[in-house]
Amino acid sequence: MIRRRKQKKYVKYKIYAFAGVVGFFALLALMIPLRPKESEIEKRKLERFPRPTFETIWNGEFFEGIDTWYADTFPLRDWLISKNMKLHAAYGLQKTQIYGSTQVMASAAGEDKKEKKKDKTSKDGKKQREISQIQEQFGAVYVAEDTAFSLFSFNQDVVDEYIDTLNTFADKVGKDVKVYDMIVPISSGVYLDDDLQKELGSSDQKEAIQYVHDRLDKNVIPVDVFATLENHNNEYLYFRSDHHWTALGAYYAYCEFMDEKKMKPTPLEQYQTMKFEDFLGTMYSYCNQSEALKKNPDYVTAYIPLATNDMQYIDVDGNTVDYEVIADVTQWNEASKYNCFIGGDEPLGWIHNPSKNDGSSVLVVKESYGNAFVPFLVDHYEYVYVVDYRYYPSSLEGLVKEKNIKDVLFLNNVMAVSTDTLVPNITEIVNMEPQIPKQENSDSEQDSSDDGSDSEQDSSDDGSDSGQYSSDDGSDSEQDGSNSE
Amino acid sequence: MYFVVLEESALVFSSLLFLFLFFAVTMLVYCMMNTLDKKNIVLLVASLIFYGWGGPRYLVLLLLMCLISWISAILIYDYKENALLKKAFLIAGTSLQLGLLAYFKYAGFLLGNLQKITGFPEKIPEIVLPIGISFYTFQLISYVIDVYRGDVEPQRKYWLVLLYAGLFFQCIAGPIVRYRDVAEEIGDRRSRLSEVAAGINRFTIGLVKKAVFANSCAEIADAMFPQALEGLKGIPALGIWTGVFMYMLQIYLDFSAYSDMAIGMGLMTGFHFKENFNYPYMSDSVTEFWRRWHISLSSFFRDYIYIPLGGNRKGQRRTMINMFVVWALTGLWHGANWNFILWGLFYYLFLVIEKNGFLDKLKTLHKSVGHIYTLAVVYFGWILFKFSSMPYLGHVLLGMFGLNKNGFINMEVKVNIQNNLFFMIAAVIACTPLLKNAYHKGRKKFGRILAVRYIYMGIEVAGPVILVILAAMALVGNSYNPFLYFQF
Repeated sequence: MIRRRKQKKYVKYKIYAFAGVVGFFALLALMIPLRPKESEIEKRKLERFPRPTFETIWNGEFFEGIDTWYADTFPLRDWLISKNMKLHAAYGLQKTQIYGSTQVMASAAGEDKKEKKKDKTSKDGKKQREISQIQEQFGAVYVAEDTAFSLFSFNQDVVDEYIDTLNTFADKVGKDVKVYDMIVPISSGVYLDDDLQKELGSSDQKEAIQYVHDRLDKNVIPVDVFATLENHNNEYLYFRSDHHWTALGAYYAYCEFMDEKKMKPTPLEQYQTMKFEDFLGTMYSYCNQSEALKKNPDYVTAYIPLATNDMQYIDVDGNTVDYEVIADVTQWNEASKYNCFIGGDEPLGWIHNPSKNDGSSVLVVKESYGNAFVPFLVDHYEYVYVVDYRYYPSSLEGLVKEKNIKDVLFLNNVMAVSTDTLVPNITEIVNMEPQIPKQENSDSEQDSSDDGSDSEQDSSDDGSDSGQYSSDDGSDSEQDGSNSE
Repeated sequence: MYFVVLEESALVFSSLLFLFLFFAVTMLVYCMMNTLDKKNIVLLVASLIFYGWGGPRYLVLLLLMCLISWISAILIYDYKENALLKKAFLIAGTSLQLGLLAYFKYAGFLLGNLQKITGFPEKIPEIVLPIGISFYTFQLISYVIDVYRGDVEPQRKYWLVLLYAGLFFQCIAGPIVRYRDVAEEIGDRRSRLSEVAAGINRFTIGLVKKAVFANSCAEIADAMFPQALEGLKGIPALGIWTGVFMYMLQIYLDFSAYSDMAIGMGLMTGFHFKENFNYPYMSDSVTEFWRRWHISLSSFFRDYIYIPLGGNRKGQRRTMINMFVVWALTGLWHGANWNFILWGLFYYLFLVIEKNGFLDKLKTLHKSVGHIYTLAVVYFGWILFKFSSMPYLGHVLLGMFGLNKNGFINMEVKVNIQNNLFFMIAAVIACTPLLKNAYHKGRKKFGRILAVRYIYMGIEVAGPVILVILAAMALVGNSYNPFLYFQF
């Protein structure tokens, strides 16, 4: 009898405990203010509560949206995710890991994902292209102990487009402007031995870079940084938890560029430095917050230019912002430490060196690998301009002519050169004609600028887009946009 | 592919919204009601919301289907003296329902095949598959036939027929509950504390089985099967073998998890559903496998098709034909595609072989022989089941023997297996009664010792809490949450 009562009692406890834990989560989930709005680690905005319309209610999209919102913004999300990752870390022997599939990567790269973009006209009448958000992609990522390596897949069509684009650009700007091309290997090419790369299904980066350099016209000068990085591959050239290179890696590339320019690089010891600890970058979030990477976080060392630390940039909304070449990001979250360089990825930035007035200027056309590199150039030119081709809306030729730039350096990592969502951006701003402001609204007629696989000069096989610059606005196509301020 | 199956989304058991809003609120309100009628209304309203979550469109279909069964069952019963009319109502009722099922599930497939042969029609309509239609149609048909056979009296209240077929516990992923098994409990049931406790165990175990185990298995399996055929050609043999193996674990863990959760929720509210899975991968013959796998489906086909066709009582030739019909239909039930029919007939082949003497021979051999043979048959069966594109299926089979020039192993596969080794072992154990038996044996053997008894009580109280937290972790951490059985 007593035993029975006891039995009953513990059954009651069991039911209460279950009701308690379900009830706890249920109440927690109802605390709307606790719901996160964006995820720093995933670098994305989380799902918003859906807007009901008659149609979305009828076909269920509205309810599906609630479902996604509820799960995506669950309170304690980051904590629950990190605990779940701990559990996953116990799934097996995880000394080396592969995230994403090399097979999937290869097949995805083969697909043609071109889409037509429309041009828009900005307030001052300049024709601009529409900028769409581009996510950086890693195909497969190989994790060995505390280091993540993104693998490289060579996409010949895209690389060929890149080569054509650079050659076109060099033709357009003429002999007065020197055009340089620097393709930076990614960490797997520098750190992993060739056999392992092959086994992992990663394409040969040295060959890929050579492929480009062999096909560039004489008026594009290649800056080969592979050998110098390989020579220093026992140093901290790339982050372990992020896909970028370190400022040290960029420094060796800068020395190579100086060599090409017959200029003297500044010795590393002369710079003042800033150091930002506890950096867990893009690879960390890509690899599901891998415990292995978390154990040994990265740090960012930044070298402040001798001449100045001031810069300006224009952001995506067109506002001019005063900023610093090397910004203090100590207070920023652990995923954002690479943003200390030149304000991150902005459409157009420039740095004026007050200790020079020889009119010298350089333009760096880059993706985010350029950020760590640009500060080293500051001491060698009066003006350093930086274009992030993913966000810059206007003609590159126009910028070069307007600012009377004499050196143009295209700086890309080898993966970017082979990525079909990135290279067409370069093609687009290379193919855009410099413009002067227009008063009439006739620009609104112009749409469907092809995403630019073929340029005007190339006598493209696709005649349909030649209407883009039809005779009635041909007047503006040959002039330079010097009065556009 | 002949046609596009558009999938209807729905609330699923393994979503956070279901668990921490829908389920929590429904149970709370259910407990607050003091009469069974009110409790039933709570369940009905909840079920309609649950079903309508994927868009209220198909709620209309569910209501219509139930209306057909409700009316035809009453008519059959009221005219039971008139054999002709009675039969007419049965045929009218069931063929209306089968017609609706055929339209929504098979029209695209049939027209697609017709188009291939005759070139007509030119355009195939895209029909969205209403969720759970295969499950609740079968429930309603069994209800009408049982009334016809006089096994059960018809339900006079429409809303209770709706509750029977649409009850969210089992409406969209089984088990296929017979009306006669729950007829009494719909009108008169009591939930005992010990049964509620057992229900909590079943529910939380099912939840973790799905959210942690099945989803992780799916992740490992999917890594081996890239969407594009070109990608598949590069997967080495060991990768394909591993992928199919993980899929084999996934499909059991996933499907049985839904049954666990349905049975668990049933127990919490006083319903007693029959078991739907009985550790099928422990079978020693294919015949036994089908007595342990998706029991409610195979018994449906046995009771409503095989036996009415004459079963095995009309001579050997007729038995073979009856079995052929049953297994072709079983295959087709799982999806409107040729690979599912092939899958059903694949089993037909082995069942016929076993029936004609092989089973007796197996019994003379060591048990492990039968076990290994059964698992091998089931393993290859899942390959037919998984890949609906014939070229892809062909390359999977070629690749298993290195005939895609794909090699035996590569770095990626090696790393993948190493990374998940412990999990794979755990998932295999989860498919066996090993832990369950050990738990109960231990309790029986050492239960007299007071300390052990307290440990067991501790596990019983804390276990479900830990499982819920684990599931929440996995569901938040895992946006990846495919629902396999919605195809059916």
